[in-house]
Amino acid sequence: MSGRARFRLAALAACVAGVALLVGGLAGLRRAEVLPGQVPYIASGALGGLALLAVGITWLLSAESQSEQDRLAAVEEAILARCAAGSVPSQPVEETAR
Amino acid sequence: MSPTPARDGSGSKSRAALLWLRLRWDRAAEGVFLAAAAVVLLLTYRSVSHTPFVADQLSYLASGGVAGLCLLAVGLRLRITGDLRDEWHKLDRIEAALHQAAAMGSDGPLLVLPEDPPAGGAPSEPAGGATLQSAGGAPEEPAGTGRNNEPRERVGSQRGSAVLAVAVLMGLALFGLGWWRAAHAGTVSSAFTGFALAAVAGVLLIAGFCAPAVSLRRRLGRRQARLLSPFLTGGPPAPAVAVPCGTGDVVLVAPGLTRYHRDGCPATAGLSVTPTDRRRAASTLQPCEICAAG
Repeated sequence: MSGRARFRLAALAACVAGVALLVGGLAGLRRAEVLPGQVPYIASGALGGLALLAVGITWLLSAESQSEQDRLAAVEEAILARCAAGSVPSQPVEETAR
Repeated sequence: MSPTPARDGSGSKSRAALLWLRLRWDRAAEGVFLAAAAVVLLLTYRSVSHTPFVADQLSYLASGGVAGLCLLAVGLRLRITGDLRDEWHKLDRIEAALHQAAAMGSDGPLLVLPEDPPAGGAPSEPAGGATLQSAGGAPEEPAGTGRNNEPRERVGSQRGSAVLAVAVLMGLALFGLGWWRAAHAGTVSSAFTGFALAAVAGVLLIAGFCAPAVSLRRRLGRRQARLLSPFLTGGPPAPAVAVPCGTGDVVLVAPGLTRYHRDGCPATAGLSVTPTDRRRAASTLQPCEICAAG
């Protein structure tokens, strides 16, 4: 498994763990009968779940951004290869002339 | 006295670590902020679960809980802006390559790409933080047309920084007020008011930290569309090659490319391509991310 695939897996695991914490926190909250017993579930389930969910979503976005950078690198390489082959993309020049 | 090989090894490792820190300072800072957030949230949970008084619990949530989430937001924002900065530098390189192509392909003046549309309140162009991923090992090249927009970029940057500073200052003031009220509350309802104030402050702080990243993402998208849409939709068509149909294992390679492509990939337009077996190509080349040749 490549490093990027592992990174995506870690991000997904963080998302799943975040949702599990949120659900677990909610279940604990409903089970606790007095207010002082409920607040720790907010501190652990809600805050921890939100934090893990935020980390997971951000990492997924980051993995997508890295794939985008690979696509951009491929575009740059293709342009340079066209330069080397003597075939030049003409569209940007036309775009400028307009 | 010449250094021993062991020292050489540790010296090169420390140099590599320093280089990584210099290039990836945002990733290192992200790790520090995430670790700090985890510690603060764990300490908050410990404190909350060790007191039977709701007013005390709410004051812990107002301080540690909100502060932990803010630290987390700063760390995650560093990752997002680091990624966006890397993409921006990739676009710089593409713009430089387009200029090179225009200079080589025509006797006329150098290619002048259209300017960015006005960016109202947009953050400044990412600076520093060179990318580690290089395409084909080519050296980093300066942007070709960024200078025309410098005054406008600076104004946008100053405005964005001012908005960020105001949001952060207001958030910090509200956070302090909420924490003070929760910490000195005699009743649960007054502690809850303090907690609510701190929560609003947290939302304000997180929004202040993350809004510039959203704006930068939009600018990046506009610049990407401006630079790449003419290239990807236009250009001379790829020469016809006899690609056996029905066999998904045949890909196209071309001299000068370090990636292999599927038939019809815009990256191969105008190049003389050769069909080859995908497994053989994969042994020396990377799959193209545009046509998902992998």
